[in-house]
Amino acid sequence: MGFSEIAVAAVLFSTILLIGISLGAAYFNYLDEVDEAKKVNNEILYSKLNTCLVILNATYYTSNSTLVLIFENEGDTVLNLDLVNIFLDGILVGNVTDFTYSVNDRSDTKLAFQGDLVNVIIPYERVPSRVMIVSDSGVKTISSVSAQ
Amino acid sequence: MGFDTSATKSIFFIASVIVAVVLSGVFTGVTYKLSSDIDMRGTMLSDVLKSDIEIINDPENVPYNSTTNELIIYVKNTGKSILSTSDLTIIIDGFVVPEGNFSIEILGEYTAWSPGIVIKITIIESLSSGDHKIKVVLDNGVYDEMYFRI
Repeated sequence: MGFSEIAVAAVLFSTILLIGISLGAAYFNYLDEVDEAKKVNNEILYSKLNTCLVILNATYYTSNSTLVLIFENEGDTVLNLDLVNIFLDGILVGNVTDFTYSVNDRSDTKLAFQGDLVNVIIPYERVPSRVMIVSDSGVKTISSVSAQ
Repeated sequence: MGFDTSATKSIFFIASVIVAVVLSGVFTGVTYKLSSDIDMRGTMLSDVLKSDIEIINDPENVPYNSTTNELIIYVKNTGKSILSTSDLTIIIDGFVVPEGNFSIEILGEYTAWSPGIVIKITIIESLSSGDHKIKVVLDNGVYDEMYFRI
C-alpha cells in the first residue's frame, strides 16, 4: 500500500469514526429524552386515573346567599386546592382557596389528602342548580344543589 | 524513478487526499444535520408527551350568549409543561374558528399558562340550539375535544 492510500484510508476512517460517535450520541440522547418524557406522561395518566372527588353536600342558604359545598378526596392523589376549580351553573366562580374553606376543619393547609373532607363556603347572589368541581388533573365531579 | 513518475505520484497523492477530505466534509455535514434532526425529533416528542389539556366546561351548561354570539370555554393545562396560548387552534363542529374571532385570557394572577392554570377562551360564533363539538388544539398537536349542548 502506497503513502497516498494510507492517507486516504486514515481520513476516511477518522470520518467514519466521527460519524459513528456523533450518530450514536444523538440516538442515545433521543432515547433518554423520550424515556424521561414517557415517565412524565405516565404520571399525568396516573394522576387522572387515581383522582376521585365526591361531593357529599351542596346546599345553598337563601338567608345569607351562600353555598356550602362539602367534598371528599376519595382518590389516592394529593389535591392542591389552589388548583381545584368551582363552577356554578357552568360559570367558573373561582378556585377553592379563593373562598373560605377548611380541610378536616383546618384552614392552615392547601392540600387535601386521601379521605380528607373539604368544606367551602361560596357567597353567590342567586340560587345555583348545579355545581361542578374540577381537580388539578382535570377530573370533573358534578352535583345538583339543594336550596334552603 | 524519473522526475515524471514522482510528479505523477505527487499529483495522485494530492488529488486523492483532496477527494477524501471533500467526501469527509460532506459526510460530516450530513451527519451533523442528521444528529440535530434526531435531537429535534426527541425534543418534539418529549414536548408532546409532557403536554396535556382538558376542556373543563360543564358540558350541559356551557356559557353562551345568543344575542352577542359569545361562547366561553375554559381550558386547563393538565400537563407538566408551560404551554403557549399564542398558537391555539379552535375547531367548532369541524370548522376552524378564525383567529380574530376568539380571545384568550389567563385566569388568576398568572402571566403564563403553567400546569394547573386555566385559560378562558371567548369565541364569537353563531351557534344554533342543539348539540355541538369543540376541539382545542395546541401548536404541538395535543388536543382535547368536548361535546356540549346549547
